[in-house]
Amino acid sequence: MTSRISDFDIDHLHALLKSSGLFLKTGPFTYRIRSSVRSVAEGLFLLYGQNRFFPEMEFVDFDIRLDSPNSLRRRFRPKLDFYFDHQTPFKPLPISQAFAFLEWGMNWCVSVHMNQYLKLHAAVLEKNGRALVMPAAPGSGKSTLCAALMLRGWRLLSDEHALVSLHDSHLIPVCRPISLKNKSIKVIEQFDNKALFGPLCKDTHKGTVTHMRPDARSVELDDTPVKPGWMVFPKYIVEGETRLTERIKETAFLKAGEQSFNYSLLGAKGFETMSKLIEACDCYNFSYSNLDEAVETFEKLSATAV
Amino acid sequence: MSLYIPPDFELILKSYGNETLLFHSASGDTLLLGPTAVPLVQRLRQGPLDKQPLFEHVAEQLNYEVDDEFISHMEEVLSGLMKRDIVAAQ
Repeated sequence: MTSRISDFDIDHLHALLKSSGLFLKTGPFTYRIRSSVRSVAEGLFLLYGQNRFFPEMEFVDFDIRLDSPNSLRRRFRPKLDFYFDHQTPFKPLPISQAFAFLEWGMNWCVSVHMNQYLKLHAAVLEKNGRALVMPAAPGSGKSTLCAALMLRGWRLLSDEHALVSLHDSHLIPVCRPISLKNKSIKVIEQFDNKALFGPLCKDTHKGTVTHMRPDARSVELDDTPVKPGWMVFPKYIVEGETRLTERIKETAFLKAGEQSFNYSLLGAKGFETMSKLIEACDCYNFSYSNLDEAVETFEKLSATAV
Repeated sequence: MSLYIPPDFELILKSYGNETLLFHSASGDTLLLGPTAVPLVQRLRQGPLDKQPLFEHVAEQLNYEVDDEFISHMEEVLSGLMKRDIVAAQ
């Protein structure tokens, strides 16, 4: 029988994180995570409890650790460093932001490595066998919309990274918690009381941040790629009307390229992959303020899957 | 002055039926080409050509008059392409 991370208790998980580390597989990537911080164990238990537990792994893509650099700092300035392969790519952050720091660091690992995929800063969900790709800059309402759609039955592939296969332009899942910040936390709490949140991290550079647990089906299907179906550029507008309008593919191509981590780096292969992705998608602009109306709009859109 | 596309780098044109995208491997950039730049680049991909016959070719493709306004516009388009090392002169 498959073991899950939630089969253990938090104390056991905390002990594991302090010693040999937790092997966490999300999509095609494996992390080894080590940390002596208890809120990291609590966050992992709550948000990744549905993920498989691996007692050991032959390959680790990202070896990361979140800890205080020395005992003096631990005592007088309780800040944490994020270690990646023994390097510290970020400035230390307060221990109260530990779980958010871990999530940001895990995102960074994917964003700056793994160039065997075309990577877009985008939420990706699936319905009726087709992927909805939503590239967007921070503050566009992408994650709020993504959370609402997942809570209404869409399968989550990622809130952060669209990984596009260079071979067939299918979307590769990398299913992890959805990052929500500030007002959007309350909005999702009110939208659905089934939403389950991890540690609340206040006074971060993004404001108050938390993460929402993906549903069990999305985690279970985390190694099943999806054919592209729609590319939608979302925009939250205060008290704005719900509006879905078609967008020509050529400008969708350029806009998606702006939201890519490695489009230029991949050269002609990036162009070719983006071409296939756009070819396979119906492209739209979408503005909204009402989440129920937004979900209804996407339900209608999903019915167009062929 | 003969104009040509430097052979060292790859140029890919792509259209979904509305406008035309150009990928330039030297910079890794992708540009949205305007309506006069498309036939200009397409013609130079077939081989080098002097400026005057090149402008005449573009005008013929688009059914435009070769007047001062058109030439001034084409000079700007050509200058933009040369600045981006997509087109060169010899």
